[in-house]
Amino acid sequence: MLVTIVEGGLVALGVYLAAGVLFAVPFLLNGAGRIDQDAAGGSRGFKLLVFPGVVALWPLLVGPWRRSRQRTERSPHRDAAIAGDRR
Amino acid sequence: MIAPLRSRHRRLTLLLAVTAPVVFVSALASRSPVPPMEGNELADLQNRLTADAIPVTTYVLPEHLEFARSWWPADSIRTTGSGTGMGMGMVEWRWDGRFVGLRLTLSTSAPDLLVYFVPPAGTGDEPRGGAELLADDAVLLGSFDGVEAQFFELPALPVMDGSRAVLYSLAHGRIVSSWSFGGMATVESRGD
Amino acid sequence: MGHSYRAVGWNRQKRVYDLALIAGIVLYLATFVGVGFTLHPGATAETMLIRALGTGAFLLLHLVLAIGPLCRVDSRFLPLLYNRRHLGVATFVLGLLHGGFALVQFHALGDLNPLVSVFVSNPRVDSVAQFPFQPLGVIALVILFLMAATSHDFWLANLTAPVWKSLHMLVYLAYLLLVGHVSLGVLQAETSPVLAGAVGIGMAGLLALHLLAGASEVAVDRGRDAATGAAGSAAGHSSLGLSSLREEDSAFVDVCAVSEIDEKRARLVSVAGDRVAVFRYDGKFSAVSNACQHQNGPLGEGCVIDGLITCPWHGYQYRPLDGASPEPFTEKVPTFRVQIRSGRVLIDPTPLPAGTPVEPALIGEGASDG
Repeated sequence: MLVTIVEGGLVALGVYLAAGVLFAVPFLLNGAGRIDQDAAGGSRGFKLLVFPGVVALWPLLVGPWRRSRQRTERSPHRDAAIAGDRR
Repeated sequence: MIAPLRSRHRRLTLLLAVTAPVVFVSALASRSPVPPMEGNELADLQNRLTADAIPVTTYVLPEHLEFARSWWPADSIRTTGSGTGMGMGMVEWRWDGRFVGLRLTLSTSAPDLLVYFVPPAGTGDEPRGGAELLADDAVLLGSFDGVEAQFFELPALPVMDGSRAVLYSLAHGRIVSSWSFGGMATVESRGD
Repeated sequence: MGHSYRAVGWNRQKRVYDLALIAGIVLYLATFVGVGFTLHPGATAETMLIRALGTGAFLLLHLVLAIGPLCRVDSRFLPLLYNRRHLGVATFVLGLLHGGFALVQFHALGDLNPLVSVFVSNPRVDSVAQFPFQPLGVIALVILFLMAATSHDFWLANLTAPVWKSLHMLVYLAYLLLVGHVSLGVLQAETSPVLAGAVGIGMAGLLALHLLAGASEVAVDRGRDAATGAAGSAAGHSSLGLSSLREEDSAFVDVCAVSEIDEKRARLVSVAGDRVAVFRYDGKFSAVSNACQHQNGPLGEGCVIDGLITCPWHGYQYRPLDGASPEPFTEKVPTFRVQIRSGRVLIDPTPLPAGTPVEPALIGEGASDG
């Protein structure tokens, strides 16, 4: 029973990471540069270094890539400034 | 840090300051008791171990079973299963009344082995999961260093029929070899 | 930032730091194995390596976790913080090697997938002394991986510092898991009190350091709230506007006397739910939100260098006038309006969008009003 659960978990993890690899390759070739101009001319070493993180955390990068816009930082002051600007 | 993260950080460190000592102290408190060891006497025995004592029993993994059967009389071996992922060989147990000695006679790659003395089991208090799990009243004799043969002093408990010395794999949480004092020497290992 | 990413933005300080780090690790491993074989001549090389790598990673994690509070207590530790992420990556690498060797040693020789075996081979979750301690180590290693994998500045910029920090706060969970991994694992087998004592002292020291630094942070916030004249910190930040001096400037909040801010330094004040750093430089006063955009470092604890507010953590710089980094960099922080009245510094508690230019207050202009 426990073996089946753990094996199932590992298969799910494998599928998630495989999807991450499929995401990471085009993301690092093209997408990263669209959301972060510093990544556009990034070196191969840089791409290699961030690759494992992209594979592991790809869902966090889907949104910014789709919108072609970097995530905006949230903080009490930044939020209040934006709210004040709208008023 | 921004204010919301600062308060989260504060909560996390406070939580850690409570939980980490609790984990640490309760782990130490539940350690098996350790009998006092007499270093010099043990060191002498250590040197004599490879000499002339008579092997009492052996434990083998299935992959070594055929080899072991041809080496030892078949009826001195009782083994019924496999230890998952163990790369151990045979264990040779010796006992001279006050000390119990053991030696791995095939190569080992399991450096996490502990030696316990297990008093006779009362009725029905065998640990859940069967004979390969360690009883709660087991007394830690020490850790088995590796390829070297080694002696351990027995605790000041009556050694009687049904008491056992066991070799326990910490990593796997199971007994990999067991030897009964008195009566017929046995080997116990349960399959998965 | 404003330049293309490289794998590592090497400079002399980072080289020296990393060389010292690598030398320290090699020296530790060699000493451990050497002393280990002297004390336990029968032990196998694999055993020694597993133990050396495991203890090395755990020690390094203590160092990593101590740097933050040490810097809060004494700014002389700041150079250690500068390259802390490399320490974290080194901790992960040592932990990975320890875990990898242990996996091969204990779980690779059976017919079960080693990764499955780690989780299922010990079923004694009902026992403390025989608790399956290995899965705790695996989960901690996954956390250390996530931290190491996101240590490049790319992640700070694209997750944003608060999200990145939240992710990296998982390190406290990793530490707790490793305390469990060590005390439920090797300490169960150890008959000498040396190792248990070392783990206990390390843990107690680390926790004390964090509580000490945390207490001083609470004191900073309380002190600043009091300085604004609000009715104690319990009143919250919204009540700070009550301390105004004039009706038409009802929004402005008193910070401190002009003389209380040293030249090229800042004074902190809590308004609008967070800290603001009010800087004095060349007879002028400007205020920016205290959190650096890079890693949310405390700008108010930095100083003005070459006319730019400089973060004490990694040297990111901002113009005091508009809270923006000079070209080609793109970081920006929110700004605040400042006034000088009757020899006192006041700020408008409403934050302006990051990068908004604000006229600095001059010492001279406050004198006429006073």
